[in-house]
Amino acid sequence: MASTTETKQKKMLILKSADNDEFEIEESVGVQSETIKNLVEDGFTFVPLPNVYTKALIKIIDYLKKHANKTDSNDEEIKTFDKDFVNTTFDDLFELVSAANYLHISCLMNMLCQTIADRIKDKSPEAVRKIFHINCDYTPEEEAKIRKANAQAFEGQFDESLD
Amino acid sequence: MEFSGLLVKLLLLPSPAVERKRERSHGGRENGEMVDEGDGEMEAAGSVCRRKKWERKREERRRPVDGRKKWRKGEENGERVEATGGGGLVREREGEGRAAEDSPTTSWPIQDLLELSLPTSEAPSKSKKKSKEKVSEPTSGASYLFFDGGSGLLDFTIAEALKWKYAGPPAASLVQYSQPSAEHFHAADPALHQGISQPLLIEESRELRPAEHGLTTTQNSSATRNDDIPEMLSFFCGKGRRNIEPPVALQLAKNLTWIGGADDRGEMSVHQTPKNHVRQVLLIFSLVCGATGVVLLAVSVLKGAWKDLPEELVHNILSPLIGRDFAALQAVCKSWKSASTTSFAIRTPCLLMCSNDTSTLHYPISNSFVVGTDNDLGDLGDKSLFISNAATFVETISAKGAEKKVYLPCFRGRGNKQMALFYCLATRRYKSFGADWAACSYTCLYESTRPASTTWIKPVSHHLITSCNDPQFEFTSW
Repeated sequence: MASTTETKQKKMLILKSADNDEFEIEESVGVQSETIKNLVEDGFTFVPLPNVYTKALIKIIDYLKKHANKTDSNDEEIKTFDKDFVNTTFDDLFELVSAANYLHISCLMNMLCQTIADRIKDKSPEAVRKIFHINCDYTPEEEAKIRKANAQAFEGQFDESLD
Repeated sequence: MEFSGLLVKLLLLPSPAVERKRERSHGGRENGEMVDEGDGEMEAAGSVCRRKKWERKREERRRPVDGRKKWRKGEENGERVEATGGGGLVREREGEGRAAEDSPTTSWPIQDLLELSLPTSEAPSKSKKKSKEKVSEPTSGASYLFFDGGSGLLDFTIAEALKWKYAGPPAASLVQYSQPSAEHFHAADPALHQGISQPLLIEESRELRPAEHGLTTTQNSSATRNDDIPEMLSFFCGKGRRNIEPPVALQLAKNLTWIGGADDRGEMSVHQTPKNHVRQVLLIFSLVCGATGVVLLAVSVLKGAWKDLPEELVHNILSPLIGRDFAALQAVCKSWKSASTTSFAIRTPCLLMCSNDTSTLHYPISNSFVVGTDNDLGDLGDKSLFISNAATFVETISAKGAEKKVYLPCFRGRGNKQMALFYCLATRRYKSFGADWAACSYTCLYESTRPASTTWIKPVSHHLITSCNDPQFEFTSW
C-alpha cells in the first residue's frame, strides 16, 4: 500500500522535444539531468528542450529510467544496457552526445565520449574527417607541418574503416 | 646486493592522493611483501609532520605569486638549515644506502625550499630570460635553471642543485623491495591526469594576478573608491534630471507618425509604388533565402555537421584518447587541434618537450622547465637530470652508462617487467635499462606507468644496469 501511494505522489515532468513531442517522466528520473534539475528547482514541470530531437530524447529517457533505479543488484543489467545503448551508428552517437551535453547528464556524457573515443581510436585523420563530416581546413602545407611535428604518431597502419 | 638486477632508487614524496599512511617495508624482499618498520612513535610524528608540510605547500600554491618572481634558494647550507628548522622540518639523515653521497647531514623535501622566500638583495624578481643569462656557475660545465610550475618557481643553478642532494629521506622510512607493487602505481589513467593538471592551471592563473608587492596597494585603492561611485552619481545628478522629458524627441516622433499615416490617405503616392516593388523584391528574396537556408539546414542535419561541435565537446571526446591517436587526430582540422593542445601537454604521461635549439626541456606534467645556459642540454657531463612532478634536479651519477640522461618518474612495461624509463640526450630517444634496451616506441611511452606519488628514479649501480633480467627497485620515501 505504501508503495502505491508513493507512486501516486510522485511528481511528473513533461519534456517537450524539438519535434514538439511530449514525454512524461517522473521527476526523480528527470533530475539526473542538471538542466532539468535546475528548471525543476525553479518550479517548472513543463520542460521544453529545443535542442533535443525526439529520436535522441527517447533513448535518453530510456537511459535515465534505467539509471534512476540503480542498485547493487542490477549492476550487471545496467552494464549490458549501456553496452547496447552505445552500440549504434556514429551519427546517432553524435546526436546523443550533443543532447547529453545540452541536458548536462555527466555520466552519459562520459560514457558517450569514451565510446566515440574508443571507436575513432587507430583511425586515420582522413577517416575521422569522414566520420565527423569535417572539412579539412588546413592548407596542405599546414597539414604537412603537423604531420611532421608528430611524425612518430603517423608511423604504422591506420584503420581506414568508417564504422 | 646479491641480486643481479637493476637497482633503481625511488624517492616518494607524499601527495594528496597518497596522504593515507603508506605502508613501508625494508630489506629487499623478493616477494614484494611490505612490512612496517621503525618505531611507531617516530612514524606517527613523522606523518603529522609530513601532513603539515603538505598543507603548507598547498597554501603556498594557492597564494598569488608574481609569475616572474623566483623563490631564491639560499646559497649557504646554513641558511637553509635555519629556515627549514623554522618550518619544523629538520631531519637527520643516516644515509643508509646513500653512502656515495657526500655532505649534508640535514635534508628536507625540495618543496620546503619553496617556503624559504629569501629575497636576496641582488634580484628577487626577474624574467626567465634574464635569469638565463645570469646563471654562470664556474663549478660545473653547464648550468641549468629549474622552473617548477607546479609548486612555485624554482630558480637554481646546477651548482646549487648539486648541493641539495635531493632531499634525502630519513633512514627510518627507507623502503626496499624487489618489485613495485601494484598499489604504488597508477596506470596513466584519466583521473590521474586530471589531478596533475591542477598545478598547470594554477600556474596559468597566476599570471593574471597582480604582482605580489603591488597587491596590498591595489586592494586598498580599489576597495575604497568603487562603491562610492553610484552614490555620488545619484547625489550629483539626482532625481530631478531624470524626470525631464526631452522635448526634441517628442517632436520627431510626432513627425514620423504623421508621415507614416500619409500613405493611407494617399497624400504621398509618389513613394507608394516603389515601396511596393521593394517590398515584393524583398519578399521574394527572403523566400529564396529561406528556402536555401532550409535546404542547407536539412543537408547539414543529414550530414551531422560535426564540424561545428562545440570545442568543449570535442575536448571531451578527445580526452580519453592518448598517445598516437591523440597526436594523429590533431591533423583532422584546426578546431580539433586547438581543442587538443590544451590537454595534450597534460595527457602525455612522460613526454618531454625539447625546444628546437635543444636548450630547453619542458616536462608538461608539472609544467617544469629545464633551461640549459650553454644552449645545449646534451652536455650534462657525468650528471643526469631527474625530473618529477614536484621538482627537478641534477645529480652526478656514479654508475657508468647512466649519465647524460633525463630520468623520468615513469616505468615502461607492465607487471614484473617494469623498467625505469629515461630519455637519452645523446641519442634523443626514450629508453629503459634492462633486457629490452631498444628505444621505446611512441606507443610504449604512453603505456608507461607512473608511481602514485612524486618520485625520482635513480639507477645506483653500473653492473646492475648492464645485466639485468631481474630488476630491483629501491623505494625511498618520506
